[in-house]
Amino acid sequence: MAKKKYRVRIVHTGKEFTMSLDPSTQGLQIVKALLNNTKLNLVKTDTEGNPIEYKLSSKQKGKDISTNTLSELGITDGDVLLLHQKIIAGYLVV
Amino acid sequence: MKKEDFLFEPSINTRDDVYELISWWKKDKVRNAKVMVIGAGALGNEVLKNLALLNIGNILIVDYDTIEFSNLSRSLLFRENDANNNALKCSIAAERVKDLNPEVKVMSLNADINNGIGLGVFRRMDAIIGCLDNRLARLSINRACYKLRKPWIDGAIENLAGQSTVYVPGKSCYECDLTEREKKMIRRAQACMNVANRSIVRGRIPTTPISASIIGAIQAQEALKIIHNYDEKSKEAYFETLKSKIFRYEGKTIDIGVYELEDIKEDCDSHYYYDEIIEANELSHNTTVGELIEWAQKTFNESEPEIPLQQQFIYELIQDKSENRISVRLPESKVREYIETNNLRTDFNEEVYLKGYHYLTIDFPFKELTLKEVGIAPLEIILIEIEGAKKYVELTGDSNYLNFK
Repeated sequence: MAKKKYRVRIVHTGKEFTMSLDPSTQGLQIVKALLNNTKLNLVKTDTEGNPIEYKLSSKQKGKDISTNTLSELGITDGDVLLLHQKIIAGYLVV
Repeated sequence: MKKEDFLFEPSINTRDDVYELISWWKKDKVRNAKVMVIGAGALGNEVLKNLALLNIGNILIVDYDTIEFSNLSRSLLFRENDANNNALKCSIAAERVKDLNPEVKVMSLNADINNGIGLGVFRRMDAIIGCLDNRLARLSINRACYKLRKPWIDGAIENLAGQSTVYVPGKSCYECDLTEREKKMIRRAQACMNVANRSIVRGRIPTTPISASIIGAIQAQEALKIIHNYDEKSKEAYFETLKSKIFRYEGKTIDIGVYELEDIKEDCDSHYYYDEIIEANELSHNTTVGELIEWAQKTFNESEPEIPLQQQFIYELIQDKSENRISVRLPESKVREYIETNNLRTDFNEEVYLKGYHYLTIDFPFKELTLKEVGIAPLEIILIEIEGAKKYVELTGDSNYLNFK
C-alpha cells in the first residue's frame, strides 16, 4: 500500500513533525518506530528505571490506536497522531 | 420598593441547598450515595475533598499505607504531625473529611485492595474510584468490578500530567489495555509479594498537587454522573462521560484531549461475571471452614463442594539453605510480614518456599479455622464449585461490617 503523510506530535515535549506511513501499520508498530528513533530522544524509563509505556491516538478521530491499523480506523492523510506517555505513578519491584 | 421585594434569595440552610439550584442535581441520590475511594495519596486527597464538599452521603476510604513527610507537598488533608506520628492515611483522611463536612458519613479501612476487601463491599457501592500508584491494584479493582458489572473510575498522575478513564465491564477493560510487558511486570509484582524473598519498594515518581487537583476533580465529576445515572443515553439529562474513554492532560504543553479506548479483547482474564449472587445471612467471615463446607453440602446437595481460594492458605515455610521447616497457619498475604518479623531470611539471597492449599474441600485439615483466618475478607463473595455448576455466595452475615459514621 502506498505510504501517506501524517503529522505526529509528541505530547509531553510538544515536538511535531511529519511521518510517512503505510496505512496498514498498527498503532503499536508506530509507537515502536518512534521509540527506536534516536533523534527523538524519547525517555524509555522513569526515574526509578521502570519502562515507560506509550500510547498513540488520533486527534481527528478521538481514538486510541494500538492493535488497530491506521486504515482500519479511517485515519487519513494529514491527520495528527499524538504520542502520549502512559501514566501509572510508579511502582518498582526489585 | 425595597431591594428584598424583587430579589430572589434562596434560603441556604444545609451545605447542599446551593446545589439544588442546579437543574439536574438530585439531592437525595447524592446524600444516599455510597462511594469507595481506593488509595488516599495525592489523588485520593483531592477526590475526597471534592466528594466531601459535594455532600456525598457515605464515603469509604481504603488504604494500607502510613503518612510520610514526602506526602505533605501534595496532600491537603494531611499535616506535619500526621507524618511525625506515622499515622494511617485512611484514618486521617476520614477524620479530615469529617472536619470539612460533618454531614458526610465516612468509614476507613486499613486494607490491601488485592485481598482485603470483599466483593460484597464493591457490590454495595454506587461509585468506585481508584486513586492508585500501581498496576496490580488497578488490575484487582478491574477484575472485581467486572465480576459485578460495575463501572470504576481510574485516575493517574505524574509530573504535570494525568489521565482518567471510566472502565465499563463488557465495553472497556483495564486488563485489555495492558501491554504484554506490563502484564509481565504485574506477574513479577505478584510473585514477589507471594514468595516473600524480595522486597517491594514503592516508587518515587514525582507528582504535583496541580495534576492531582485536575485529575481528582475529573474523577469526582465522573462519580457524580454515575451516582445520578446520567450519560449520553439518559433521558433526564444529557451528559458526556468518560465511559470507555480516556481524558489526558499534559500540563507542560497544555495538551488536553479525550480519546475513545480500543475495543475489548476476546480473550482476557478479567472478563468473568458473577451472576446470580446468593446472599447467605448465616455465613460471615467468622464462620469456620467446617461450617462453610457443611452449609455448601446441605444447600447444594453436594457431598464434595470445592471452594477455590483467592490467595493460598500457607501451612508450611521452608528455608532453602537450612531446609528448616516451619509450621504456620497463614493466608499468603501475611507471609511476608511473618518472615520479616521472625527474621527467617538469614541473608538477602535466602529463599523461603511456601506450601499451601489453593482450595477448601472436605479434605482441608484445618476446618476449625475461621474464613477470616484463612484469608477471606468480610462480605466476600465466595465461589463454590459443585458438580457441573458454579455458585456465588456472599457472606451476607457481615452486612454490619460497613458502618459509616
